Amino acid sequence: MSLDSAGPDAAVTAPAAVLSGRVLVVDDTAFNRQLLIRLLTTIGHEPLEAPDGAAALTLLRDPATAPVDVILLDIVMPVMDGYETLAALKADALLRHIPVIVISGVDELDSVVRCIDMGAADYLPKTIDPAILRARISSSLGQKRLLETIDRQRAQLARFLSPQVAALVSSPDGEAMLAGHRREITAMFCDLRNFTSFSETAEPEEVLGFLRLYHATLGALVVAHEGTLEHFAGDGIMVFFNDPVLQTDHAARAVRLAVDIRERFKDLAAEWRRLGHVLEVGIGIATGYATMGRIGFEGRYDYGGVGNAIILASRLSGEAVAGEILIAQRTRAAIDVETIAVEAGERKLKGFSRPMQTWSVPAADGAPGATTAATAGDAP
Amino acid sequence: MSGPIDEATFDRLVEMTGGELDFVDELVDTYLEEADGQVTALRAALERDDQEALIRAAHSLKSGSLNVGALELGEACRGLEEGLRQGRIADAQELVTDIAAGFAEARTALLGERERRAPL
Repeated sequence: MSLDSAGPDAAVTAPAAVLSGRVLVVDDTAFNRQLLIRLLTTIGHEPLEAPDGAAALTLLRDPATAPVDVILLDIVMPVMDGYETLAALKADALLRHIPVIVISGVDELDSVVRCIDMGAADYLPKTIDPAILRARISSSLGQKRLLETIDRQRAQLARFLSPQVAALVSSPDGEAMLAGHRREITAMFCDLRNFTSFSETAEPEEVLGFLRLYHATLGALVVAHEGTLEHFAGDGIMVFFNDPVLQTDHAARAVRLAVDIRERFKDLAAEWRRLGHVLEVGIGIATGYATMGRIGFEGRYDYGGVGNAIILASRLSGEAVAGEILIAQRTRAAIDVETIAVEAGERKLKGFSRPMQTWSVPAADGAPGATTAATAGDAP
Repeated sequence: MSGPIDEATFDRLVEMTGGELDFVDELVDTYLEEADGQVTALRAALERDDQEALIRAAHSLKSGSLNVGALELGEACRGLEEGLRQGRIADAQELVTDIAAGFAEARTALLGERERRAPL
């Protein structure tokens, strides 16, 4: 009945929130400070003041000072002038993002240019017009708020997405990339042998504790090798290389990541072995073309890919015995000839009509598949 | 209006403060106090032959004076400041004397304006 009464209308007609902020006035003349502070208060800002640059920096760096949103800076001042102050502000990682509006006389336009070159956001004529003051501060505040929002969103995204995907989402060509593109990638799939029986016999808290440690260990390695994490699903993990960030050595990177995972997993597994659980990784790697981009539906998208290489990596991971890294023919061909891989026979894999030639990367201490350290150069 | 205080500029100052004359009086007091200090500083700098200090004092006095409508005084300060920046120091003595006199007139005018307004 009253569907169209208060709700939607209120949202449409609500006035845009007036930005108000903390504004620091840096000017050596008490007259100007007094006038500006009165005007700022009238507009609804919270003013602070300093008689010169040095005093301003001391105030800004004092942990007791609440964060300042905009600085109004006079140029000609004793002790520390506007240029020195601006240079010091821009050299300070904690202060450089605060917009600086330079206050300048009409005969000082050269100074304004110099200040803007040094990083000032804007300028204000010395004969102050309240309307211009209001507009310039509001514009600087708006820009600062926008940058802060972007930074915050980027940080939030980075907690949920792999760093490459978080950067992609907030980049200018992100939308085109997300829409889908075809590219040669190397996919690495890793999961655990005996995980099902482990999760059936261990306490749920133990399983979760183990998974946390496992994810943390693998996550750090994926980041170190600059892989794009597609997902963690229980004990399974899928990583891409060469997308969205291009990597000419994507196949070699995937193999190096796999070797590191197998190495680091030994320490994790040793602890659990003492408790009677025998856990081992099985890793599959394949190289080939895939269509990469946004996969899912409005409200819940993932960054992922579709292609034979991805399916193949997953099948190879399933084929791998405990501690084995199985790689596909194309990956073998792409990696550096010095990387040792031994033939691991032709495999009949689900979903692939003909048998696939596979290779195994032996561990330094002779883990599964490492019968002979042969084979540079015999790839077709 | 050919007096030392430009009426239009002064009215704009009043308007800027939202017509709060008490606050305008405060501002004028601040100006007079600072300007007095700057005139003293100009004389002292001249005596010490301290060019830097002369420029600084002239600059500050200029912007304050222009704000309250003491345009002629402001222009005189600008002349001194620019002259000094270009290395013209010969007429500095004369200009400082003019500025001191200009400031005395401006002060009289500003305080006189307040007197006229006071009984209302």
